[in-house]
Amino acid sequence: MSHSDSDTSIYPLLPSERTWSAGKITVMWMITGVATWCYIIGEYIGYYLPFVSGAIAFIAGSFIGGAILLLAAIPISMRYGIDTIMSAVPQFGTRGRYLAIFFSYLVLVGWNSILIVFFGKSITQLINITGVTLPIDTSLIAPLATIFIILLIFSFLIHGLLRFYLIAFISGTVIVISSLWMFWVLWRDQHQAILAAAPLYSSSNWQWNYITVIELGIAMCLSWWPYSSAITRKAPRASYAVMPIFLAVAVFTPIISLLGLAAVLVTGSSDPLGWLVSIGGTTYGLVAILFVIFANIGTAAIGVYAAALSLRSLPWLNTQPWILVLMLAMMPMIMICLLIPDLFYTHFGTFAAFLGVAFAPICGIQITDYFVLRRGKVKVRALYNYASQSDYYYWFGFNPAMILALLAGYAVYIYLLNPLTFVSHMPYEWTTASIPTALIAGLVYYGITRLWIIPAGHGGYQ
Amino acid sequence: MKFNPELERRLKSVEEDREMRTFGQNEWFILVLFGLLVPVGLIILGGYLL
Repeated sequence: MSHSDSDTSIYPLLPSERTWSAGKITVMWMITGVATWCYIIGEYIGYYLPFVSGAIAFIAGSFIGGAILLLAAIPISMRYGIDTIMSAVPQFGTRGRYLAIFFSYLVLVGWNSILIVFFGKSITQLINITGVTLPIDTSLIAPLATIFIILLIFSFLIHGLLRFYLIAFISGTVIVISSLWMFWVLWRDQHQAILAAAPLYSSSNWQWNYITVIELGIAMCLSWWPYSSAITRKAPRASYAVMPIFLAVAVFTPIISLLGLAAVLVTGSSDPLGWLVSIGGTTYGLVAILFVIFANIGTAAIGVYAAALSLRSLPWLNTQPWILVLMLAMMPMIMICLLIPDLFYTHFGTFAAFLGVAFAPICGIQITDYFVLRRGKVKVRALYNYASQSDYYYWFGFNPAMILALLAGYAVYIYLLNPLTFVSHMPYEWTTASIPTALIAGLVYYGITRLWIIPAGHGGYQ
Repeated sequence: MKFNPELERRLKSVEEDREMRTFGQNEWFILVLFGLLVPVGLIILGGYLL
């Protein structure tokens, strides 16, 4: 198996294949985090808090979420060079991993649909602003732009993630320079208005607003769970993962989100294309569209790679050509972007809350299982053994402790913060929803495993 | 269980890998600093400014 083949496989990477430097990991994490979704996140912060406290609350939440993320899937994948889904087999069970694949895939499809749709909308806006006349109906511009970006991503990933690095590096440079410039343009003209602006739809309860932005920061970070090990498994040592992840989730992503926050507070729109054109005309608009193109392509490409890698965990796709897996990974994104483009885009708030519901319990369970119950040791051979003799087969391939702990976590989250209505209950205003959810799910998992799973001789616990 | 030769080779390599590739003292320090102390400080600061 060549180096490129191992990059598109769920098999553990050899030590000789884990050659990415800390700088390379940082660039890839930055590309993953920085995209136009940051503007939408910034817009949501602007609904609840003014600029300074919104920025502080979101960064604090991002640091907490980053730490939870770092302790969940990453230690297992770093130790054995495996991807996120395989790292979840000891907790989910050999068949239960399909549930992890489902969650990962849903999130990756959701995020990528948002990015690709944003790309299509931006191209349409740019053509409208510049007044260019095209020999096609304007309603076709967004779908054509969508098909273009999908084909581009496909061509980038046809050999896995290894050859994507150069593109990622160029994207990263463009993103950083253009973001700093956009922030400077907005700050230069509007800094007094930004600092004085009131949030758009805040509740009368300031503590609720504050904790909701912290919760947003945590939930956003936890939603990187499916992406996390696809990148970090290529690092040769754990120190190469910690700082890059904190930099990506708590520095780069918040900086771009704050651009969206500042923009929505003073212009009412977080999309930079609109306000940049109003400040500096079409030249400024071109810079904004350049940012959207580079930022979204990089992030969407890594998302598609992670989605394809998670599909590789399905037995019938394990040995199929990478090109087929890639096409299958992209198919739902293509369908959604072309047929129901607004599905995730217009329901972002619900999607964001779903991220917390889905991943906070998973993270809590993984941390408890790996650090407390297994003391940092996993039987790597059992991860790939799907037979009933496998340590991770449990009962019919499912771990009941995981299922019950997940259900307990969902119940706690929905009680604390209903993701559809945003109705909350105490102690949400003091604790957020994700942190107690992760704690309770971890505790339930610990209790059931100690009282039932270990005495029954399942799970390979020592 | 018998695995295919490629997977077997990789599993052996991982099992024989003596490098622990786990969080050391420095990583735990960074985790506690940025995952706990910094956010708690920020939350207090933000709450005070609000």
